[in-house]
Amino acid sequence: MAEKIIQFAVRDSNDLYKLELCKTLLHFTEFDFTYFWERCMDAGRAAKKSGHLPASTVSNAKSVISAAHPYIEAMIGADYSEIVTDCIIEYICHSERISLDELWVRCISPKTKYEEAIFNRISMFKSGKASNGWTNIVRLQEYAQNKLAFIYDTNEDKTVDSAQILKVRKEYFDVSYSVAANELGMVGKNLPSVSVCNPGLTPTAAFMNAKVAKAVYRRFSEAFKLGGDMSVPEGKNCEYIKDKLAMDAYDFVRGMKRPGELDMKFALEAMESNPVEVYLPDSFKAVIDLEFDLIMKNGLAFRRCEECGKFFVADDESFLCNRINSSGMTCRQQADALRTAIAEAAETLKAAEKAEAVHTAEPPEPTVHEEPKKPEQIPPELEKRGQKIYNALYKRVGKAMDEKEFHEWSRYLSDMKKNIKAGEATADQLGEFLDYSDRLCAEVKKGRMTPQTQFRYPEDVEKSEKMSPQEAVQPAAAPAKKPEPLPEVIKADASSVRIIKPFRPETFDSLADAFMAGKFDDDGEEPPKKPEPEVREYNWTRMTREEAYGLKKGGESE
Amino acid sequence: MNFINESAAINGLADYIVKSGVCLYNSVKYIYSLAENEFYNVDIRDILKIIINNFPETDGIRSLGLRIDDYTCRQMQSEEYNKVLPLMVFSLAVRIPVLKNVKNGDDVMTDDQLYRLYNAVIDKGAENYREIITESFLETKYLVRKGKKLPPFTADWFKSYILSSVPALSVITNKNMFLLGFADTLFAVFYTCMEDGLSEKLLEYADEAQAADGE
Repeated sequence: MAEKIIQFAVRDSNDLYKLELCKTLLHFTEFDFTYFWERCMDAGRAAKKSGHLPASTVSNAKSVISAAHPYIEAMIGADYSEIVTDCIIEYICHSERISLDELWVRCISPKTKYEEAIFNRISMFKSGKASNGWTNIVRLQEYAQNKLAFIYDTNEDKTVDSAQILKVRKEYFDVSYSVAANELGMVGKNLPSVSVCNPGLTPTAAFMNAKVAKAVYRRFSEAFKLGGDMSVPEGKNCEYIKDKLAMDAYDFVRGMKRPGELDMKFALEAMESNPVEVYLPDSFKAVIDLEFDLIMKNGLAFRRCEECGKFFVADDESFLCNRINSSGMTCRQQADALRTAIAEAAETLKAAEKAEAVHTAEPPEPTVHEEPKKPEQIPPELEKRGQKIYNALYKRVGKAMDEKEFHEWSRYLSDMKKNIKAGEATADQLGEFLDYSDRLCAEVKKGRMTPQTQFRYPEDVEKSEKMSPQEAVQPAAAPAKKPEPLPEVIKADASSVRIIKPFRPETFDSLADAFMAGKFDDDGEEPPKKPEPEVREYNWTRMTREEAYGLKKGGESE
Repeated sequence: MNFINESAAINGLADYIVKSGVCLYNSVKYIYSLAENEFYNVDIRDILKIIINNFPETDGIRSLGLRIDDYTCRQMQSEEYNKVLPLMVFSLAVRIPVLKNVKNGDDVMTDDQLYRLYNAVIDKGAENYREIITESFLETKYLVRKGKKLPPFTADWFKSYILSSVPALSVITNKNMFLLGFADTLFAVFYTCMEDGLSEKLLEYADEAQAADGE
């Protein structure tokens, strides 16, 4: 599988960060934060004594959590710069069962640097300048785990889902979140998002491509000086004036010609290693969602390992991963080893049984190898044949055939079909039953129904098994043949009856159709033609007014 | 009232009053800066809580992300507005006779001590610029001696001075209307804190003297 790496930039940073698809997500969802948490607790205990957070422990803890995800690493100097204090605040509030406000008031007149750090951090939470980075990371890990399981968890029937299904699941998950956000009145523009652009259009492009930017500045510095300050006040809403602002800036480089050969060479050297696309996520959630999207876009998928229960990148049809577990083998190797061991054990057992059989000189019992039952489709020709026999017999119910017998026969046919669908019977067995039914039908048509030719639904299976279909329809005096067992019909249990749609006889448009349905083929007779509707010509006669309105002559009503 | 070092005590109390004036002056600026960009981000109650709990320090307000730089308080960058600080200190100085009510046992500050404290504050820069403040030291002294209730410490003089003398703040804008609105509450909250703080400070000096006498 080819590694797919994307590059992203974060606000207030001139660097690009790499993110390896699949690997990053799996690593983050499985990351154990215990060590980081312990470091924070150590820092908190030390700060309580000394009055300030020990710098070495803080930097150690920060380096530990940076390893969880490239986004955390990118933001460790910005959003997550106070992550240790955040973790301590969360711990104090949780362990002492106090609210953030209570802790803030407790530290409102700080006596030590440690208290001041807590007070300042909570003040930032209160004024919306920051949120608890530690809590966010933990919640986002749970979010990523849940989304991963929602989309990629193994189905009950252990089938591999199509890319379309996975895509729909992902969108369903995202829509659910969007509905929740919408219902809670959260404005879309305040929620996480990612934008894509080339490295030349990132907000910090001038600093990312510093050498080229300097060359450009040298070319247009005079024009820039004339332009003056066109900055927009921080609080001003620029949503609707972005094009105007952009064109105002472009005006200063409008007449630009291509740089000279030397400058171009210089630019090529500086920019050739730049990626084609740079993603600009505005939050951690946006990065996680982006990774899910790109995984799907690149045709990659995850699967949960049957052995260890962890997700892995699915590169074939296997449900076992290639991680090395506590046994020192990968899950796949372990499963193979187990399979081999079972086969060997079975061989050994077989050999031992053989030896024992020879020893006791008793005929060995045949080993029954139950082949896995596979559900079959009923061939259409058998369906058609069964329907014809059904119609033929139905026609003679109450005349040459008893109604009860007919019901028994039809129930047997229906059960047989259900069993074929459930993999409990085969199409051949149905064919045999239909052969038998043909003979039964022939007897019925001839009006030679005798107690011996009556249909026996195998309630007395033993008896019917000993009797061949031929025997079953032959008179008792007929010469005995080698018994040919009736196809075994296994009654479907209650659950399967609910699942499998019961057989229903064909429906007909008219009584004549129903009547004729069994005629064709059964007796070799041509079916009588359906009478064509007779088209009559209408004889139009003109009526008088009196006739039409039932008036007496002279216009009076009768 | 007995002090170990009377002039040091009076100087300390005068410093406290000046610091309180600076606190009020900065608090007005901090709350005014709220209207620049942080109107919906910062809760004004949090600012008041920080002022009350850290009186007379105001640096704690910075933790809420508020800054009193030249840009956010640009309308206050004028000579006329700079006179507000001496006026604020003067408005506190004229209320010094209230300290007559603070007793350490039966010991109270003498009129001479009160007057010396008033002069110390004036020497530190307090000024009734353009006679904006109508209250006077003598008037307060008279009311206290008579046991009468003092008029509440209001922002009336502040508002009238701004409207009459600081054009950039007298223009009708969202920000300026907000300034005139919150000033009343801030002055009232502030004076309560200042009075309590000053009384505590006075008693501290008196206790030190009592402890020294005991030894």
